[in-house]
Amino acid sequence: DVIMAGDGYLLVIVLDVHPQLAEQESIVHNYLSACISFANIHLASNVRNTLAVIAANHLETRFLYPQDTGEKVERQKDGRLELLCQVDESIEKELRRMMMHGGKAEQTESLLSGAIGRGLLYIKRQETEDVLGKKVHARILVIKISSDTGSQYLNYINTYLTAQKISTPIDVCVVGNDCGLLQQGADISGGYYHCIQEVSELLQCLILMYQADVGTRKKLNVPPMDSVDYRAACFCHRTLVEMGNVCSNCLSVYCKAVPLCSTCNVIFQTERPLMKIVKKKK
Amino acid sequence: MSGEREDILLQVNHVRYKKNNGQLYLSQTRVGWMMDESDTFTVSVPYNDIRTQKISPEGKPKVQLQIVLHDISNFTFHFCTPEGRDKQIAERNQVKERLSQLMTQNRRQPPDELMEKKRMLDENEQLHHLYRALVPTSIISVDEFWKEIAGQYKQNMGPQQELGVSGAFLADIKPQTDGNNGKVQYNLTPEIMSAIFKTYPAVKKKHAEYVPHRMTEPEFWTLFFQSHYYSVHTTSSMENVFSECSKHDDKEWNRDVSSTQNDPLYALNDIYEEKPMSIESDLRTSGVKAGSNVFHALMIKRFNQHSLNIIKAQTNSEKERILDELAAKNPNGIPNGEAKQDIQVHKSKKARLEEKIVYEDLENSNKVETSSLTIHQRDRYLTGPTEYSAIHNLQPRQVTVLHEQLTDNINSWCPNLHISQDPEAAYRSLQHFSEMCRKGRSSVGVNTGDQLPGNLHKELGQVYSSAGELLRHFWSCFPPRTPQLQEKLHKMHETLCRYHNVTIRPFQEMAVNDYNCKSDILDHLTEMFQIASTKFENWKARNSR
Repeated sequence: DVIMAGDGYLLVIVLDVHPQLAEQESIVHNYLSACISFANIHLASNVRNTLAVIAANHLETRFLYPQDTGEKVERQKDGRLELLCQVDESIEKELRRMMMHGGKAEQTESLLSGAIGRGLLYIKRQETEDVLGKKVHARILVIKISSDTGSQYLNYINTYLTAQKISTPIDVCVVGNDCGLLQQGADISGGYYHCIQEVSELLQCLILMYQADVGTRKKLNVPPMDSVDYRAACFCHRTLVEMGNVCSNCLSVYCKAVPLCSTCNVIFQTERPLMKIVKKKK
Repeated sequence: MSGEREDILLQVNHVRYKKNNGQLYLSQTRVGWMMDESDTFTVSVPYNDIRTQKISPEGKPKVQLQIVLHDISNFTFHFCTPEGRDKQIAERNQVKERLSQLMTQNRRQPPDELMEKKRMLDENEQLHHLYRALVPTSIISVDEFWKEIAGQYKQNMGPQQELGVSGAFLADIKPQTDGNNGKVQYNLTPEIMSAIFKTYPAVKKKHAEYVPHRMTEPEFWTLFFQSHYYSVHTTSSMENVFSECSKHDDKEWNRDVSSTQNDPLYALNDIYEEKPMSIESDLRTSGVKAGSNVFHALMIKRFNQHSLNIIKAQTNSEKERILDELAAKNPNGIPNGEAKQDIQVHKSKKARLEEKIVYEDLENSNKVETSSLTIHQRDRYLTGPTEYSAIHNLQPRQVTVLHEQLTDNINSWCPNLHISQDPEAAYRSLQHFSEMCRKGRSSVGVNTGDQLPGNLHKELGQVYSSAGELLRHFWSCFPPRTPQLQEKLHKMHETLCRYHNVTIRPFQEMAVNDYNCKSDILDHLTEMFQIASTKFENWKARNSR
């Protein structure tokens, strides 16, 4: 891909606003401010850059920016660039609205995979709607703070492979514990993965590691990425296996040799019958 | 001349070379000339060096023979028997014939095998690389190379293509007329003879019958040239050897013509018929004898027959060769019935047209019956590996509570972007990432094989491929049940050790010193060699008990 000087970048921020954020009261404001500041920096660094922000919690995903209300950029209020002002206000307003939507959900995990999917669709739509039909240079930045179970594994993998197909790197910044699932995603799609411990360092980390676009990254001296653990999990215990047995009918993975596949009810022919015949002869 | 196979086949006295009298000798492998009073050979030329020989034209007073070598130098011998000019000419011609025979004999032996080897090396680049990597450094001897490794490549080679017969070969036999006697002389070489045999199988049969029982070669060929094959005016009054041939040829010609004429796709059925409403002055095809002059018609017919036979000769020889190859590959197979030699029954026009427009393998293939897959537990595929996160396994109720807290928090939020980043924390973050960058850059030198410069990359590939070939032969010897395999195993082990010393070590040193590679660049290869040698030692220890 040749990127001309003067081409803009589309940054899609997928923001995790799971209630787990509220476990530590003091970090909420810091977290949100850091993300909004980073969005501003992105827009300010190149006049052609564009932005989309999607928030996700356990109930829903929602576009915080842009809104399709068709509002035009208002006149300058307080010394900020008009566009940045609009972005900030849009994010704030929509976030409050999102919080208003209470509700109960069975699952407690943050719906980040859905948000990434919506981000990919948004990128694709930008590309098809462009008047000149230019290729949109886009990337997705996922900022995550909650923990996850493995229940949305397949959804995540689908989004990763889609992103790889349309050459959209998915960068991941995780606050707190390492998340192997998102690390796989960054590796598959060609993005960065970092894990930080303190929310107070979040903005600096974002500026340092995630500000540069794909072309510039090749010239930077970035720390080498760790090797990613791509081991499959066995279907019986959900433990990672290095060598396993795979059913030839339905491709389910087992950690040890089983005579019967419990997913598709196929019986495997093993070598045991031969042993029986030898015994009979004796 | 000393050495092997040096029997003198022909000796001619009174031959002058550079104004000295002497004798000319022809042996199995070379031609030589010795001066009268000496006993060493002044001139000694092996046949392989001779490119061609020339004789002086008939009219000249001197009777000479000239030998031209590949490097353009030449030797001229002057035949000067005191017995008279005719004897001189006879001697010279004798020498010339014998010389040409010996030249072709000597030329034929090496090339076949060498040519084939050369062809194999040319066609398989990989084999060429292996050869260059293993043989000059004497890791493997030449014979071993051709026996072991090249054996597999041989099977994949296509057949060597034969040279066809030149269309003008008969015309190229330019006869020389001797002005005095009206005698015509034809120069006939073995190549021309084989071309004639290929083109006219009938002549080949006759040759086998008549020569050498009933007549000699020169007589046979004289008759040939007098026959209809070569001249229009045949001495048809005599009952000739070749009159049978001419009848046979005519029959075949008529057969070919009718088969072409009757081919339904060509629509030539009525070219010889009188067309109604045709005007006299139109061009008309009027049968096989075209034109008013019978002789012209005959000549044209002879030319056509000649050309058709040449074409047939080529296709027949290819057919024979394919059948030979099939038979060689399949010695126990039941051979197919022989192709019919008589008039071909033409397939119907429709069948022929269909053949031309339909390709069977492009048709839709029949659909194969598929059985459906029933899966009883779908969600197994959907879940990924579960992380060990006992701490954060939140219950839905907990989540709801937290959610309310978060809502309150955000409702009371006054965004102030000026304090989004604490400087101390920023500094800590920068330190952390700088540390990571520094750690990542610690390795000195070129890391992986991807980052090697171009030619080193290629060389590494070649080292791997030759080493791989040797290792493959080594491992294919296990388990060594027969004595040959055991012997081969010993040999391969030696070869591997030699290869290690001759090629791998220098390469590694070169890579590390000249190209600043990491010293473990050939570790994987050395490991493979070590495994092989351990296996060999174990086997030897076990077997020597």
